Amino acid sequence: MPNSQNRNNRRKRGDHSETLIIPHITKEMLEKARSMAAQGASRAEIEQAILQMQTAKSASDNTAQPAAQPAPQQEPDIHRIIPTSRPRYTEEERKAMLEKMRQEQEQQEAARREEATRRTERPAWHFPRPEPVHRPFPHQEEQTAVQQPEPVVQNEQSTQVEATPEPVVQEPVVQEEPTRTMEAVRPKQQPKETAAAKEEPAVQRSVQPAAQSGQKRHAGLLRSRNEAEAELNEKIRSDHVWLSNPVMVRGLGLAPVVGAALDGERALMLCVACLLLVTFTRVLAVAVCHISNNRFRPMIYCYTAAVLYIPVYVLLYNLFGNDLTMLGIYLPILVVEPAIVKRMEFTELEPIRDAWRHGFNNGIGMCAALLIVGCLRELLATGAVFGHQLLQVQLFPLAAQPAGGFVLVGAIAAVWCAVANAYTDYKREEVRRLYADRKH
Amino acid sequence: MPIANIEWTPLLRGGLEFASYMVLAIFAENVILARALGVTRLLKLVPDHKAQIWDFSLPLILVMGLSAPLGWAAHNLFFPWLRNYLPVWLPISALRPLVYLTCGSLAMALTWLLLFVLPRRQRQACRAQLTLGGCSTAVLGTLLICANQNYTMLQSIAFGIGSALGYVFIIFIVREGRRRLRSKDVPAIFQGLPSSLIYIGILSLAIYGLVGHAVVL
Repeated sequence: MPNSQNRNNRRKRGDHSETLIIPHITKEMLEKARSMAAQGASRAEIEQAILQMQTAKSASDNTAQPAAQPAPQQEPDIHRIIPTSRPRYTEEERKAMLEKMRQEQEQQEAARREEATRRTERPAWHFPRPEPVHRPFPHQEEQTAVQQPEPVVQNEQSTQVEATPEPVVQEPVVQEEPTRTMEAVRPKQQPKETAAAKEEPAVQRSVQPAAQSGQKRHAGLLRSRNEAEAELNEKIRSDHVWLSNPVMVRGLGLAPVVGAALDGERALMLCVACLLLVTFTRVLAVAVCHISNNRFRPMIYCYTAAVLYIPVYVLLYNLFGNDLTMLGIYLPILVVEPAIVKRMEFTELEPIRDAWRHGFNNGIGMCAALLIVGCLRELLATGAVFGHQLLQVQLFPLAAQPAGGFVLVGAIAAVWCAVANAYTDYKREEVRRLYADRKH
Repeated sequence: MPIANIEWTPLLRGGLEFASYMVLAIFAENVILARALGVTRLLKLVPDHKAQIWDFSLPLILVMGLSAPLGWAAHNLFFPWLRNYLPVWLPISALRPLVYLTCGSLAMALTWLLLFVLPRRQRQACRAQLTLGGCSTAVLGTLLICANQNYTMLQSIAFGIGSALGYVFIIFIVREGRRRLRSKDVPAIFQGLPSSLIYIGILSLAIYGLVGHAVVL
C-alpha cells in the first residue's frame, strides 16, 4: 500500500505556486495579469504593470476630486497590504493623531527630565556622567528657526542622522497610510515643527531647541540604556576601594588581613608594603609581559614581586626598624599573595597606564581593608587603637587570634557587601528609571 | 651466615618524629586554620566545579614535599654563604622571598616531570593547576615557617608534606561546609564569602582550643 502524504505538509513543499497579492484589483487588471503570465512575464513585471494601472486610476480619481488630496501621492510600497475593512483617515485626522502622540511623548520626556534633574542634585559620585551623543548643530538650529519646514515624519532614517553629524536632509512629505504602524516619536529626533508652532514667533522657536538640548545634556538622557548600564557596571567593577574591594568583596589578600593585621601598627606597615608592591608589581609585570608576548605570566608576576620586595623591604626597614619582625612570614608571602599576582590568571594584557591605575586602586582598597580590620581588632581585643587606650574593657579578646580574625573579617565582609549591593542596586534602579521608555 | 644487627630505636624515633611533625602540621599548625595561608585560593577552588580537588591537591603535595628540602638547603647552606657577600645596607631578609620562590619554582619543575607517571588526562589537568598550586602562600609560607623554626631536613619534609595534607583536609571540610551553607536559612548578606570565612573561623576555634596559644608567626 503506498504511503500517502501528510496533508499538513503540503505547505512545506517548495514546488507550490506563488500567491500574488494585488491590492484593489479590478477585472481589467486581472485579465492583464493573466495575459502577461501567459506570455511568460515575471512576477515583478506583472506587479509593476498592475501598479501602473492603479496609479493611472488613482490619478484620474484625483482629477475628479482635486480638493480631497492636494498633496502629491507618493509611490506606495508594492508589497504593502492595505485592507479595505478599516475606515481610512483623512490627512487632517492623521496629522492630528500624530500631533497628539508627539505631545504625549514630549510630556513624558519633560517629566523624565525633571526627575533626572532632581536626582542628579544628590551627591551621587557614581552617577553616569551625562555625555550627549547628539547635539543639534548651530546651523541646524538656525535652519529650524528660519526655514520652518513642513512637518517631516522621520522614522529609522532620523536615527541614522543622529549617528552621523551630517546635516539633516529634508525629505518630502510622506503620506501616512491608514494601516501603517506609527513609529514612536523618539526624543532624540530633531525638534519638529508642529501646527501650533507654526503660529508662534520665530524667535521663540529658535530658543526652544537650544533649551531642550541643554536640558538633555544636563539630564544625560541622550545615551541608550545599555550604554548607561554598561558604564555603571564598569564604574562598579573598577571601584576597587569600596564596591569591588579586593579583600572584602573579592576575597583576595586574606592571609595578611587575618593573620597579621592584629593591630593598627601592623596594619599600617602592611598598608605601605601592599600599596608599593601591588602598584609597582602590576606595572612592571605588565611591562615584562608585553616583552614576553604574555607568556610565563605566573613566573613573571611572582618574580617581579620578589624583586620589588628587596627595595620595599629596605624602605620599610628604614621606616619602621625592627618592628617589621612583628609581621613574621606575612611580609615575605606578599610576593605570592593573590591580591598582588591575581592578574596572572587573566590572559588579557592590559596597557601599562591601566595597570598603574588598577594597581594603585587595588592597593588603596587593600589599605582600607587592612586599616579597618587592624584597628577594629585592636579595639576589640585590647580596647586601644594605635596604642592609645580608648576602652577599659576587652570586648572580644579572640579578635587577636586567627579564629577571631576570620569571624571578624567575615562579619565586616557581610556588612560591606550588603552596603555595596544596596548602593549598586540603587544606582541600577536609578538608571533603569531614567531609561524606562527606551528599549535600545 | 652473617647477621645484620639493626638498631630499631633510631628508626622508630625518626619515624615517630616524622609522623608527629606531620600531625602537627595537619592539625595543630594547619596552614589555613592557624595561619590563614592559602585561604584565598581555597575559597576560589571550593565552589569551582570545573577544577577537581585532586587535580589541585596532588601537585600541591608534591611541590610542598619537594620544596621542603630545597628550603632547608637554602636556609642552612645558601644564606650563610651569601651573607658574606651582601652589602651592609641590604639585609638578608630582603632576599628571602626571592630565594624561597626559586626553591618553589624548582619544586614545580620537578613536579612537572613527576606528573608524567599519570595518565594523559590527569596529567594535563594537574599541570593546569600546577602554577596555581605552586605560586601559593601556603608553599612559600611553609618554607618560611620551617626556616624560622630551624627545622632539620627531616622535620622540614614532614612539616611540608603535613602542611599539604592539612590543606587538602581543610579543602574537603570547607567544601562540605560550603555546600551546607547554601541553605536558605543563612541570611542573604552572609551568603558566599562572609559565611565561609565565619565557618573557617569556627573551625579555627577548635585548633585554638587544641593549641591553647597563638602560633609562632
